[in-house]
Amino acid sequence: MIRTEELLLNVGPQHPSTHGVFRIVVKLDGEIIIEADPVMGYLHRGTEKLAEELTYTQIIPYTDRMDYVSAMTNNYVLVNAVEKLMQIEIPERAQFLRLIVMELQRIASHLVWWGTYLLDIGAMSPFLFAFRDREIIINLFNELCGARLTYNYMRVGGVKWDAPDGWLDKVRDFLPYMRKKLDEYDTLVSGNEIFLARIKGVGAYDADTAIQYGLSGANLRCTGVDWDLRKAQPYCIYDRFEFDVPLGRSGDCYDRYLIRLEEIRQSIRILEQALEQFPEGGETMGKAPRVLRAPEGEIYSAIESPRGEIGCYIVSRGKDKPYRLKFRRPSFVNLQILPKLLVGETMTNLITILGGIDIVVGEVDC
Amino acid sequence: MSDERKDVTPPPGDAGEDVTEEKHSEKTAAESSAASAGASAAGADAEEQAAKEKAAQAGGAAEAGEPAADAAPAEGAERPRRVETPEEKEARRAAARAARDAAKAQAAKEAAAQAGGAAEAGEPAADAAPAEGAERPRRVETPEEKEARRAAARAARDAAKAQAAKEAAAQAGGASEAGEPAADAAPAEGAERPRRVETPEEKEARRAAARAARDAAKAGAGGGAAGAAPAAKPEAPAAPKEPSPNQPLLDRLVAIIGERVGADAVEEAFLNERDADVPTVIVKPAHWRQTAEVLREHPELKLDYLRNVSGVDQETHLEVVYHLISFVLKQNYCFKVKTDRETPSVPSITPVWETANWNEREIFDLLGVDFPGHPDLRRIMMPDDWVGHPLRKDYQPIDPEV
Repeated sequence: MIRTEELLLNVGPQHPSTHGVFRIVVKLDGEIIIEADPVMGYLHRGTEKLAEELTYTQIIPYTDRMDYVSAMTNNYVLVNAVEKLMQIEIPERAQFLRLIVMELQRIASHLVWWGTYLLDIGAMSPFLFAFRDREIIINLFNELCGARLTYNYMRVGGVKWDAPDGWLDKVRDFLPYMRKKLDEYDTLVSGNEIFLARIKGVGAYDADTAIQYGLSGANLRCTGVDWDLRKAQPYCIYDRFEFDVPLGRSGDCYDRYLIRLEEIRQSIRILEQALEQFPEGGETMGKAPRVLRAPEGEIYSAIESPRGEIGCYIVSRGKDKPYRLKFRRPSFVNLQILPKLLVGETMTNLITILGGIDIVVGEVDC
Repeated sequence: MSDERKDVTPPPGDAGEDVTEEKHSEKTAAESSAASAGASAAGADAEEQAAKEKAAQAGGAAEAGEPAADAAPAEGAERPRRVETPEEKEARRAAARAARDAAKAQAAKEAAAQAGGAAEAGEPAADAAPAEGAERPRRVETPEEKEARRAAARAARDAAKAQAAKEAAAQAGGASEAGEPAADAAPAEGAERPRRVETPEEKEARRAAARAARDAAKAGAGGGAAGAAPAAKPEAPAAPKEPSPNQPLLDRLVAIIGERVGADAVEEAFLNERDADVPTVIVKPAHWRQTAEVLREHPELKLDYLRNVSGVDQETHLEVVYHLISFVLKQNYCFKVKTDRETPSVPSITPVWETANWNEREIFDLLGVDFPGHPDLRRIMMPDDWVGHPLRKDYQPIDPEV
């Protein structure tokens, strides 16, 4: 008889596969996880508390630092909520610029995920490819607003900067390049036997579970639930463009993988149409008062970030600062299902499943 | 193709300043002062008419009156611009004061008249005002100054009148439209002048006059509100201008809860006008758990997806806000549960929607709300030994260094 004992193992907070400072305490029976308890808060900066002392424009840079891999969509969720509350009209040109940067951001974010996910499960070179291609987008953003990660680009009423000369052409040139690279990624990884053995059927759940846990983004759509806020509750000008919402069937890590790659293709489609219809001239800032005093009331406004439904709940008492600002962070909500998925899995699959959920700890902790 | 790019990157600190400077300089000074007076929603811009109407409807009587207030400084501040001796300055200030008093008296009188009785109370005030105001400017007063003072007084009186007219209209049951044209006309007339150059003194004068007029408007509003209160209050939540398509949804929702949970489960139900008329229901804590189950299961609601749970410290009480949506029927709803600040407790709905688990832990951690029925209620963001709940409005860190 072999005497076995339960082992309590601390994974993190400093661990390469946790994508930030995040800890999971796992109880192991041999190599099988029998209990997992995520521990977070290492990156909690109290953004919501700080926001209560800041004007709406001053909060925008804080949103950059929540999901720092997708700052543009975070910018948007805040300014969009304030604009709705104040009923501010956004000029056409600003709408297009917003949409273009948000879709570029979605591509960049999914590339980070793709690269790091494969790195997690042991493939080094895809990471280099992904970061090479993402660099082009980062440079485009740098040219547009002078920052590589924390853009602070959007404003209540429009965007801070107009596109510099030739910028749109650079975006246009990037799209066919990216499409070609995606095919390369597929050839390199998507059909790889070892890769499939690692992720197919791992971390699977059904649609009811996904809804019950409030999952969103690829984590929800991998179960076949057709819910993308860009289509379901269109914001910005998404209703003007044709694109598909890729859905999975089996709800496992492989479906989530395929969905994210397909979403890059769909983003390219949206970008092509947006560049086609991009208005000549026009303002980049609408009529926003210099002091933004949102009228008394409250609003919940949500958009589709690369990670899922990111929402912003504002309670205003008519001041230039929010009375209460709450962010619904998709990483935080999606991560809840992790302990459930981990039970009965091996330690290797912990990395696969956690990576598949696609979290950014800056957003989990907020 | 692209417009010229601004090449000066502002320092990170002034993010709040950079919003379309030029566009605003085009606006009249009166308008921008209106904005600074907090009447942003009621700005006199014709294009923002819709927004303004909304603000007025929402009961922002004071804001609606403000554009009128700006007329006073605009006209009054015109003259003494060039050289201003100390005497003139003094005289101007006195004029502003006089205007303020006059307006106050006017408003008080009107309010008193509206209230039906107690006209006497207004009278002495009216008398006192000129007496006090007339004292100062007597010493030196050039014709121009006199003219300026009169103009200011006139404008302020107009503002007060407009206010009174509006209130009368409000009392009569019709909304504040009646007052608005008058309020609009005033700034339009006065706004033209002071745009070009504005010395600090003028600015000061303008502000003073604006303040005066605002006071007048407030006084008026106070009187009017007292009279109108019983009539206006039940009207406010239940009667939107044109019935929203969500109204039947809200009615049906309240009926369902009433029938399946209990007639006293709903504390309040309204449409959130600011948020696309989302049906919003405040549920009593004791009934919340059962209500949640009904919401999820009922074939006409099928609220299967809990989007967001927020905790709000309203200072008088705490509030937990739930945003729900049905993936089947594609309809949004918002629910709130109020609880007191001393022993805040809201039944956990984690057994109904699993996603509430960490959200409730977060609210417990940051606001200190207890969720009986939660499987694992402990801090999630702050360390386990943390003292206090940081999102409370009166939170004081035990160690200010941290």
